[in-house]
Amino acid sequence: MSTDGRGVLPTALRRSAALLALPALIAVTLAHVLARDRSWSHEWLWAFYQYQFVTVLLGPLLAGVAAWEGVRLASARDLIGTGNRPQRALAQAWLAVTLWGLLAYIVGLATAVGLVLRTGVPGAPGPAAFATIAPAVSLLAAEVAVGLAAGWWLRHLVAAPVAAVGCFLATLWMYVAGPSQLIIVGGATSSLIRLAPRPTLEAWQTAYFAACAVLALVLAVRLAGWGRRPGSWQAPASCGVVVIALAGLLQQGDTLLHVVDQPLVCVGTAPSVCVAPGYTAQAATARTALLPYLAAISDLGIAVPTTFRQNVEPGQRTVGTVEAGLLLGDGRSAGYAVLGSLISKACPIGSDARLQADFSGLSYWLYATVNGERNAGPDVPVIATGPSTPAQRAWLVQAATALTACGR
Amino acid sequence: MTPTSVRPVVVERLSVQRSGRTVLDDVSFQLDHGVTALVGANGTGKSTLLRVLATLLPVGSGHAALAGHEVSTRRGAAAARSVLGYLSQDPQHSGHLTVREAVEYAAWLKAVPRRSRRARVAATLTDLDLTSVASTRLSVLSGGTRRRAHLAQAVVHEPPVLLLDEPTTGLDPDHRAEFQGFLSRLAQGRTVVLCTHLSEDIDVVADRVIALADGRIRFDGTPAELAALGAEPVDAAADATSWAIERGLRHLGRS
Repeated sequence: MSTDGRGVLPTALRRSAALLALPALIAVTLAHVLARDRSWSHEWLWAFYQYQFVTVLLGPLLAGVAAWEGVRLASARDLIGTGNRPQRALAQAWLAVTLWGLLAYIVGLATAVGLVLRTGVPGAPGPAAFATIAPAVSLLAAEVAVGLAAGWWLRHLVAAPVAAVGCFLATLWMYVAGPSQLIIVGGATSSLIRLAPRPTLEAWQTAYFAACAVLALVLAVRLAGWGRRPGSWQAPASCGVVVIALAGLLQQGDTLLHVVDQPLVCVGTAPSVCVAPGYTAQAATARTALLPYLAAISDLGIAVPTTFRQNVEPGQRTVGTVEAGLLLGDGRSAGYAVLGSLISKACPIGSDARLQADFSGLSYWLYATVNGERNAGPDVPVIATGPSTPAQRAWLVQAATALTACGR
Repeated sequence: MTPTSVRPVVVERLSVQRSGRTVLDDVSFQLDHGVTALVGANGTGKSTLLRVLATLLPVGSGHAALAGHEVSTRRGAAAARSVLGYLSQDPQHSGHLTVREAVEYAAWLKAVPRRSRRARVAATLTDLDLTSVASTRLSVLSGGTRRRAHLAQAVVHEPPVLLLDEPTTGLDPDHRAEFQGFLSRLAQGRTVVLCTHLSEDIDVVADRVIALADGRIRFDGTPAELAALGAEPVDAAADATSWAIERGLRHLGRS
């Protein structure tokens, strides 16, 4: 086969170390999607954002593979150095590893998309979901460049584990030490309803990681001695771009997500349960779970919310909150959703013994009335655990009123 | 002074320091077409001189130019790289490529135009009798064939100047003789600088010999002149000249 007319990229792809490592790369992305909790499968944005967490494992693995490729390339260092395309030679090897890594990344993402579709989420992922791809891929490309440079420089296969372990430890360290915007490009343990990654932050992250990739390749050329040729400007220029991108990224702050409007679909009346389109199948279940708790509170003569929404902060008097457990029909979650609507958002229940007793007593009574649960802790007032009497009813109304007003 | 000559290789008052040690000291010579053997004991600066000419090491002071292109300037070095072919002492282009892929890669590195690249690669493989192993990976070739494949990488762009650093070292006598045959053919119309410590290489392929000692030129003449330095009555064996050259080299080493 000849590469005439097509450059040598086809050969670089076919002979890339990353092709040999492709099964392992794909296994990592699939394990990330299939072997972990899949709560994200009801939301396009959450699914995409959560998937980007794959960079924590895929990035270091790609860095190791790239280092292997760098060692291979370094064996032809004199040949490359006496040509006029040393930068392009490194760039070709980098591109080949990156493209194979991208294929593994796409296989994992496609699997995640398939799981979201299987849950019946209507519509298609929006621009915010697709935008999460840019910083993640950019980060992967940077780690490939760092690995390639390490292999090129060390010229020994030990560079592969060194690059992989080094990138992984650096990732962990940055997760712990921060600033978080320098490493976190995805991963959310709870719903992203009414939240979205900040586009400007994503843009700066993409620019920063891309600049780091270029710098790593330029430094690799410089490490070979060619960069010290007279008139070499790439290294200082690349450093300058990285510094500018870093400054821009740091200026963005470490708040990764911002609040956005979220269109909801409402099911039923009194209460009406409003959820994101991906959860409409669960809305009726949630509503059914809420009804007995709402009825019990209403029987006391206390006003209850007529609407429960997925995109509100807890503690709003007139609107209840829909959490993940409620969507699954969990009775305890339904009870908390109703109780939560009674409590003022800013009320410091935990630091006020009396309010704590009001909440505990009301909770005990509610679960005992609806579910027959009778797990009285030491902070539950005796009156709440006794038989139904006018005095108990008066106490419950007083407790609910106190929680709403945040004080007796 | 900047060399203005368009001779294939011009070196004037070249000095190179590495790690605080003077490796080349005020070296000057000019080369025309033909094979020049660069000889000397280990550490005398042969490989350094070749690597400077190949633009892999910087010029300390003085001048070095290939086909009129000064290798110490960015633009000159870029131009020089297009007219030189370099075979390093220990070429180990990763064995995962086939012979054809390795030669194609070298052609791409040397910017052989796309439309003529395929033909150039094919012609080079034919010239070096590599067609039958074109689809074989470098890693499974014998030492001699692999060396020829590396030579093919060095000449695929038809460079007028060929810099070879001990290309026959490590080859068995048969492969060495075969390699020397290819070298003699490739040398026609080219300037070849052959770094070697084998008197047989000098005898068989060299037109001129430059001997280095302590970074300075100690001898510059023909193989016959070198042989004359060490000449003494010997049997009229086939390798008499090589033997005399060997003695000449030893003579230089003592003086």
